Amino acid sequence: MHSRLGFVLSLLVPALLWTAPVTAQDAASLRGYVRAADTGETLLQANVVVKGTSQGTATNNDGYYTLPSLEPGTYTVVFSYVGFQTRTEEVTLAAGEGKRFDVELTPTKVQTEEVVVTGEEQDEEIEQQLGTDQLQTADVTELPSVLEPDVFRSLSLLPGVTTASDYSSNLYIRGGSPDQTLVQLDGTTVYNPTHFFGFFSTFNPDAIKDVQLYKGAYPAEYGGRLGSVVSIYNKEGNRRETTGGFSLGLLASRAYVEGPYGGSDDDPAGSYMVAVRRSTLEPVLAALRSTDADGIPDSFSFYDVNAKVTYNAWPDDKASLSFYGGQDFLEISPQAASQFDVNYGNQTVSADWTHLFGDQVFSTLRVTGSRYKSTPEAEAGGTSFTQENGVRDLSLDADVEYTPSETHTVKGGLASSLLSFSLRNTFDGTETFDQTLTAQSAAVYVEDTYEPNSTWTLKGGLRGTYFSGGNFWRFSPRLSVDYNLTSSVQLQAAYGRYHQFLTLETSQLFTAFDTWFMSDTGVAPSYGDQVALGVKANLGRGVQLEVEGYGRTMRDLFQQDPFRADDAGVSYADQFRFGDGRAYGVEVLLRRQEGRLGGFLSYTLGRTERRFPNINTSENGDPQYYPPNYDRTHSLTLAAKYKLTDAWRLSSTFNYNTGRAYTEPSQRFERNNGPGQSGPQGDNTFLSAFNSARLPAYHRLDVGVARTGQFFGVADYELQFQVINAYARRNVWFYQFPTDPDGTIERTEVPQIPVPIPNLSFSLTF
Amino acid sequence: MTCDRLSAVSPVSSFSFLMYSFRLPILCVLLPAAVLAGCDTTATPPEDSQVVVESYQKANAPLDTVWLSRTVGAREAITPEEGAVENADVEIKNLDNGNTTPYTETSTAGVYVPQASSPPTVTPQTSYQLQVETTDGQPVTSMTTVPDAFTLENVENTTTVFQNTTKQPSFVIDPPRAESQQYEPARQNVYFFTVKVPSGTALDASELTPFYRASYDADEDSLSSFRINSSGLLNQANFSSSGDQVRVDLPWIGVAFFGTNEVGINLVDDNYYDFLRSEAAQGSVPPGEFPNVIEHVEGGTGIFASYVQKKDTIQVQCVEKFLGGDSTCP
Repeated sequence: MHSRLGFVLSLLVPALLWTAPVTAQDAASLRGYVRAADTGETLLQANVVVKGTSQGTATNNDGYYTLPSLEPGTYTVVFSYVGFQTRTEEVTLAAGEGKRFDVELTPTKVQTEEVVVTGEEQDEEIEQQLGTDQLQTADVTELPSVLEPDVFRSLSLLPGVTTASDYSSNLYIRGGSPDQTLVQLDGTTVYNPTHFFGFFSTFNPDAIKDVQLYKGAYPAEYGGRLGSVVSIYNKEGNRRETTGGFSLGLLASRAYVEGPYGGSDDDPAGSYMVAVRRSTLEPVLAALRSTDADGIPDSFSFYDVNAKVTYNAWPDDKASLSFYGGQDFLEISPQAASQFDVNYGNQTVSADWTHLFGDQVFSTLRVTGSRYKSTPEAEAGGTSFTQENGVRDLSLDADVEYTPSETHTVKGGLASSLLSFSLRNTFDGTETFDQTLTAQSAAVYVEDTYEPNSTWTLKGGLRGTYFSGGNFWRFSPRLSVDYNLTSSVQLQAAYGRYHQFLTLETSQLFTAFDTWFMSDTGVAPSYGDQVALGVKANLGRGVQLEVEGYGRTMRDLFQQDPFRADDAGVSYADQFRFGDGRAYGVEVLLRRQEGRLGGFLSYTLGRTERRFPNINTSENGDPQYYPPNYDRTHSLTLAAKYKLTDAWRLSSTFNYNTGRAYTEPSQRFERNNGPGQSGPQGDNTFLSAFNSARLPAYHRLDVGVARTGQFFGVADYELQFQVINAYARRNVWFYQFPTDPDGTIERTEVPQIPVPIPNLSFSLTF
Repeated sequence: MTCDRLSAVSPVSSFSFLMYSFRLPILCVLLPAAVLAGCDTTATPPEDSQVVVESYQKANAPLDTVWLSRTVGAREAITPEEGAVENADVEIKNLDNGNTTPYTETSTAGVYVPQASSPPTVTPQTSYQLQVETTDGQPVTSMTTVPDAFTLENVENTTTVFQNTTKQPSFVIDPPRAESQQYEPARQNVYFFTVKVPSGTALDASELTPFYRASYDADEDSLSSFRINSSGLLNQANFSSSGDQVRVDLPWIGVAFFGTNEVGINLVDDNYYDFLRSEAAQGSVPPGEFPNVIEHVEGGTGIFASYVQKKDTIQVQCVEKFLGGDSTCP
């Protein structure tokens, strides 16, 4: 163990202490924050380019940039960010000067279109990393959505990303299951990011500033998942003025307030943001209950609260405290003498401190806590069933970003966490299962971005992780290469090895039963390799083309054994089955983000497969690969927004997917004579090739129209009317094969959203 | 090419340039498409009908009946007469002493019983092999090892009031030691429980307990389907133990009828265990997915299993006020 630790340190320490190549003593530097002019919010991953030189960078996830090793002189620096007007500044640097230069960009929504599309846009370098994408609040709220704007559903429009059904917002990215995606809110892992039992995600669009998606081959600063990362950042709050708003919707209503506090108008001490959301389904449920319809809950509700306060202690120090809490409640009586109640939710808290050491080192210290708890209870015929399912994660992260020269940016950090997963079941008042798993993990990473010239960017990283459950050490190398053939065309390649110490058991139907498990003795962590190749190009007039191919392996996958009827008294390792998987595909994205007509066309050709014991066994008894039910061969999405006038906006999304894989039973027999059987009907047993059939193709069109304007001169309003599933496509969710009274089997289909669903919402911002 | 030069060309021509210049990388990223189109690893569905074996050998009871039939298309009706495998040669061999018991077909097609009027008794911890040869010469075989026997030491609260939480019927058993069993791979004892209204007792819907009364639809359900209530598989570790003995409290959800009920405690062999646990998975994994059952029949499918059963009779009396809702006693 000690030799391995020494190995990691031997790699890390020299890298962190690595000094810059010798530079002229009179070299100058430029650094600062890039912010939105209207709110003062920092802009993450904004581009900063020094015209006429090879130097350029992007702001980090705190909106901070550094341009080191500039010769004394006057430069033209271009700051740009999607949705904001490009800003060009003349900056003069004296010999040895380290200039702090904070910049504010003006949102394009207050500009006319002619100003938005500028000739300069074609000169912008593409700084986006392979396999990444970024969403802003407008992307989430302006496209049609089922009942409520949703971050995850917006992400699922992107190539390589899908959801299981109209009723599930869990993300399946590049052939990975939801547990293979790390979901973080302000750096805090969220373990069950769903409301409404999976119908949509927990993230309130009013509270969100930025969503970053790493679909694959993600950098060394992240770890612990085989596939991808969704990193969500809450707003820090408006630093200019106190603003607020509320929205009324069919499913939920939202309200938020944000603003500056302390200090002066020009330089507030900090800012805050509070956003709340609560379901407003009670009238609908009451109306449904009055019709004596079956299966209507006695009560159902959810709420969530996001809050964040930021304090600018000194020019080089900033602290923030972020909180999220959300809960879902359901009470339902499926039939007489039975009752089912469930209460589940997440709470997260994150405290951040960022500090600038001189003009070359940006540091972040973060303490986070995350808790998930679900307590389903059922009572049937006088027998009770209960479950307590909990996750606790307390983490400490420290990251340093060091820019020693114009060619190198070094990042490094430490991450440690205390994890606890607990699961307790009772049956008829007696405890039948009680398991608490605890583990400590510690990770260290180092990553260097090397830009020898304006055409090549090489990023290499190594992440080492220790997981105490089972005493596992794992090392994950990461490498990516970008080649700018022109300023508008970029070729990219990336490789990475990834390890995952956790696995999620989910029914895909009802996320309140989702349960996490972890590696331990006899349960080795999963691991996999990812390779990706990509081409990105600016085609002019704000149009971008991205083509990426990817391939993934997934080894040592562990899942709760579906063939194990009862876990009582079973050793932890024996509760699992072990298998492997692979995924590969091609993604194409054509996008226009600026102008009166914006949107994107995305297409994915992909395949994902799994192999586990006792599934599709061959003649020699070995299992064969099969597609999990979320495998899609073809996926096509067209999302468009058209600004008719300053007041009216049209939007639409169309989605086409190959049908889900499912199992079509081909043969069957009945057992009639067992000691536990009554008759007259026997128990059916199906013989089939697992998931060898496909549901009919899925397609759906959603359309929307929005009007914005002034609400009696006191606020801005937006009235949205949308129709989901506009042409009433009856997409199949899954097939059931119930036995009819005459003993025959009938295939019945359970539809996804089968009819057009209107959605009306009204929002005020003041 | 510089930034200025590219910005001077039209979007269309820059796209053409892109396509021309990056044939190799585009080929690289499109290569997986060719792989996707040319590689299909999906398993082939079983289309041919197979011989189905069904037989459950109870320890310390005579060798039991063997039922032979054929699988049908998943949505075809099962007709016992048409699906029966007739005129097959059937025998069960005791692998410990080598004795073979020939079977003969009864007047019901596909139903085979031992030829001897007093067939051998199934012995615990003994292996038996079923051997079938159909008229077309197809051999079908399966082997079971009978679990070790156990004793029912005591039964408490044999007469009790429904939903009395302090006086549930309680069964104390002395289970076989796990090391004496021949499970492969090694595992703990696994049971399922049956609660049965004795054969010959007329069933009356008014005597259904509240949960089952709410489930019962006279137009669609047969009351006889409630005669035997069976639990899923339960590991021995579920039950409280005292020394070598294990106590099992009967959960009220298991009782479908007031009155006399026979409670059976069934200890299963590997074949029964594998079949029931995988059969349960056909209904519990995400909807629309049916993993095949784990069966141990060569040349066909189905179940040739053994078990040890202990049972006793209890009396369940009705009360006027039930947990989870009001009801009325018959």
